[in-house]
Amino acid sequence: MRRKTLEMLVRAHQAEIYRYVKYLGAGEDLARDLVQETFLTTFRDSPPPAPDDVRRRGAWLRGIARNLLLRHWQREKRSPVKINSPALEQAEGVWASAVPGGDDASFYLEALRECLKEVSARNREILDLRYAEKKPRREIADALSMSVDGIKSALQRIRARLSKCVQARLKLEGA
Amino acid sequence: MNRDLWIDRLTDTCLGECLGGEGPPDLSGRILARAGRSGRLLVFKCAAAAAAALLVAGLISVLGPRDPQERKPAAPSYAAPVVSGDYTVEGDGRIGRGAIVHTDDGTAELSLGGYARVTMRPGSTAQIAGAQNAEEVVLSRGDVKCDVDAAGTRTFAVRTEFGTVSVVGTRFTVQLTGEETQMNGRKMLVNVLAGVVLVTGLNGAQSVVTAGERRAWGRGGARAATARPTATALAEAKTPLEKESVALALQVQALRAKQQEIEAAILAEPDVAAAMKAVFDAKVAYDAALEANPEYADLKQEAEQASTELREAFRGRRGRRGREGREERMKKYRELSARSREAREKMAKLAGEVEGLAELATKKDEVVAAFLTKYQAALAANEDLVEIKKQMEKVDAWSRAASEQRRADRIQRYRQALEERRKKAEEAKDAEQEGKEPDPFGEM
Repeated sequence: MRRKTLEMLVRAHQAEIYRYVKYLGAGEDLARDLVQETFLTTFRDSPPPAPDDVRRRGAWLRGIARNLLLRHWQREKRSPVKINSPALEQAEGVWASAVPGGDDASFYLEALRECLKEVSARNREILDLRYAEKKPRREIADALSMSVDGIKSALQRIRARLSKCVQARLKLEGA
Repeated sequence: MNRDLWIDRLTDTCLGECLGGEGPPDLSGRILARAGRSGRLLVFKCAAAAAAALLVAGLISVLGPRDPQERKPAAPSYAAPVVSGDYTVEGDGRIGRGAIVHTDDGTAELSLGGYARVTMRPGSTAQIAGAQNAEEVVLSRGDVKCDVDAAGTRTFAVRTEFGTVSVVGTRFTVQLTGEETQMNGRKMLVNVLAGVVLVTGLNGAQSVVTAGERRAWGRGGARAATARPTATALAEAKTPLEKESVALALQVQALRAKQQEIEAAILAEPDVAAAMKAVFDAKVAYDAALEANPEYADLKQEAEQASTELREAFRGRRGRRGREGREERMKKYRELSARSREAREKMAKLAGEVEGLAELATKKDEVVAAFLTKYQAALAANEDLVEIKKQMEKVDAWSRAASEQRRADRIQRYRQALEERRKKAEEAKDAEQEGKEPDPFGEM
């Protein structure tokens, strides 16, 4: 692969691959490393040539990233959740169906931002403490005088509703 | 994990980005640099294998000098403009020179050439202009904060309708106030946080603004504009934290005034002042050589005309709604954006062909480097400035601690607010109900 092609590939897909590996469970540092390794693999190891179609090219890069992540976890003998090859294939299926082809998940993010406007003030407080303030569940529970399990289920419930809202919006936009 | 859990994971990841600002980093520079290194490593390995084979054959003379091309390091790639945060881009959405970036409610950060970071505050419009190592932003609305790394001959400038703010390594903000239709109310505010900037007004008059200084430019030229904490503010502060904040701001103000005084004195030293004048002269000569080319002048006019029309088109966007209106506006944006970009690309191409310009550019780079070396050496040698820097670092440490305190207070306020809400027990129970299937667009 030529350097110019690599540069084009990186600029077009790095955000998508970063979000994808984080979605699969990689932490921030590991995600950064995996993004670099994914593109360097396409440059150094001469895998099959990149498809012309942007959608297939995204899937091709995600496949490389997925394999690298799986190999990393196998080497480290630990993963944040019980994940194996079939589980990762399922994850890919969900990503491919939720994120429009050729996109780097920015449509999903945009829809999510819109849906966040509809969240009630109380739920927004919980989300802000968790995602903006990055507080652990225990601290959120203390701050809001709730149990840790209560916070956990509240977050799950809010995310489930947000997911539904995002899917509805994406469907609407697609139509 | 089942499908629902993966969907939950996707939303969780995206929430981290939407609310926590954990956006994807730009790793292109690092990847390309590593690709360059691995390419060179391959060359080395091949050479080593060849040398080993020849050694076996007894040809020791092969250990002579290698082809210089083989050792030549790959040219470092120049970082392309990168935008992150909450923004929209006119036209086809491509980020590159000529791209016009808007922020509405959020902020966006532009990274230019890997050495200039421009934070666009809400309600700003800026166009990415300039060239490699001479990055520029054309600000037509709102305000920007710029953080520029001082190194080598790289320059950075913010252009506005009132003039150009040029820097060689500093932090500063440029703010356009008032509506574009207001002739007298509109002005440009320049606030220098560190280092020194050169402001060239519409009439060509040049002013140096140093750290801690804040000045305004209107259509008539420079005006003083300072908004600094006062003793009255200290008396009006209510909480101990507020009092301490104001007292510290007064201390910072005094430190900055002292710093400004020292930096001004250094700038007035004969050798530094002569080096700075050489920079101004070289820039004026370079600009004059470019402007003297009639084709370049025509292209510049065309690019500015397209940018003006683009701004006007963008201003009118709020009055028209609906899908058709949006599509029509996007079509116009694309056309105008393409016109502006085409003119600027031609300008950049032409700049490389103007006779004698390369020499002027080299001279400009040399005098900028000479000025920077002299100025930074003089700053580093000044003991008073070193002491001020130490005190500023202490202030920063206090500010961080105060920020943590504010965060803790905020959590405390959340707790109190929730306690009040708990008194309305039924409300909380309703919110906890899971059985009810909500309208996906309704309140969640």
